[in-house]
Amino acid sequence: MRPFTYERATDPHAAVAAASRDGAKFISGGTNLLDLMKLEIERPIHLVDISRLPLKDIEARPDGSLRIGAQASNSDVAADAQVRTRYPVLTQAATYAYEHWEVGQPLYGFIVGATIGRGRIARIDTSN
Amino acid sequence: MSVRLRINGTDRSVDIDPRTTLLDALREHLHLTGTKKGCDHGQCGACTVLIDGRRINSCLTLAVMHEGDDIVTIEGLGSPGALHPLQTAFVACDAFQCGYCTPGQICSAAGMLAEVKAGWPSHATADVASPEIALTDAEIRERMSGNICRCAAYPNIAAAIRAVAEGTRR
Repeated sequence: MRPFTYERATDPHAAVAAASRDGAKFISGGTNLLDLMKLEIERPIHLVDISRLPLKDIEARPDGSLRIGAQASNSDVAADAQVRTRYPVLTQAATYAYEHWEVGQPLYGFIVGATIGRGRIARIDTSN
Repeated sequence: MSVRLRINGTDRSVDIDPRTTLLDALREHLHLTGTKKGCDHGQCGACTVLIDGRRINSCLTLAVMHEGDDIVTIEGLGSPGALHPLQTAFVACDAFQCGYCTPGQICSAAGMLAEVKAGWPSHATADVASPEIALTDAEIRERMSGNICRCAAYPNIAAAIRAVAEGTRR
C-alpha cells in the first residue's frame, strides 16, 4: 500500500472541503477501498474518514418514500423494520450489495461493516 | 501517529503508520496473535474481531479509524481458565482440525448469535418481515459463510454454534 495521510472528518462540510484536495479520497466502511489500495489499484495520498459522520438514519418520508443515510451499513438496511416490511426485496439485495459481481455471491462477513453506498464514495451532497 | 485503542477492556496506545490495518496493529504492535491473517483481503474471515459488538474483518479496516471503539479479540472472549461458551462448544464438538481459522470462526459466531438475537435477517431467511429468526442449519451456514475452514470442519462448527444457541435459549 502506498503512503497516505489521514484525517477524521467532523461534519459533512469539513469532509467535502478536505476531500477536494488532489489525490484525496473518502473512506467509509473501507471494505472496497482498502482492498483496492492493497493491490495499488487505488493510490490516494490523503484519506478523509467519514465513518463517524451522523448519516446512518433510515427514515420514512411524508411522500411514502424511504431515505437511507449513506453511512447505513448493508446490515443496518437489511435489518431495518421498515425496509423488511415495505421493501423486502431491498433486504434480500442489501445483504449482497458489493462491487465485484463476477465473484458471484460474496461472503456474508463483508456485509456487517460495508456501507450501503455501493463501491467507493465519490461525493457527498451537503445540501440537506 | 499515536493512536489509542480500547482492546479487551484495556486502553492501549500504539505508534503506527496510518496504513496499519487493525489486524496488523493487533498482531505486530500489540502482540495479540490470536487474531489470524489468512488472505488479508477480507475473503477468508480468519481476522474477524468484534467492534462495539459487531463482527468485522480486521484486515479491511485501518487501526486509526477505531480510536475509542470497543474492540474484542479472541483473547478477550475467554481465557484458558474461563472459556467462552463458544470455545467450550468448539472443543466439545471437535469443531476444528488445524485451528487456524478458529479464532475468527468463534468471534464471528459470537457476533452472528447477537445478530440473530436482534432479529437481523439473512439471505437464508424465508420471511424477512418476521422479527423472529429460526436458527436452522441453513441460517447458521449462510451467516457463517464469511469464515472459510480449509480443513472443512463445517459440520462440527455448525453443531458447536447450534449447541450454544440452544443452550442460550433454554
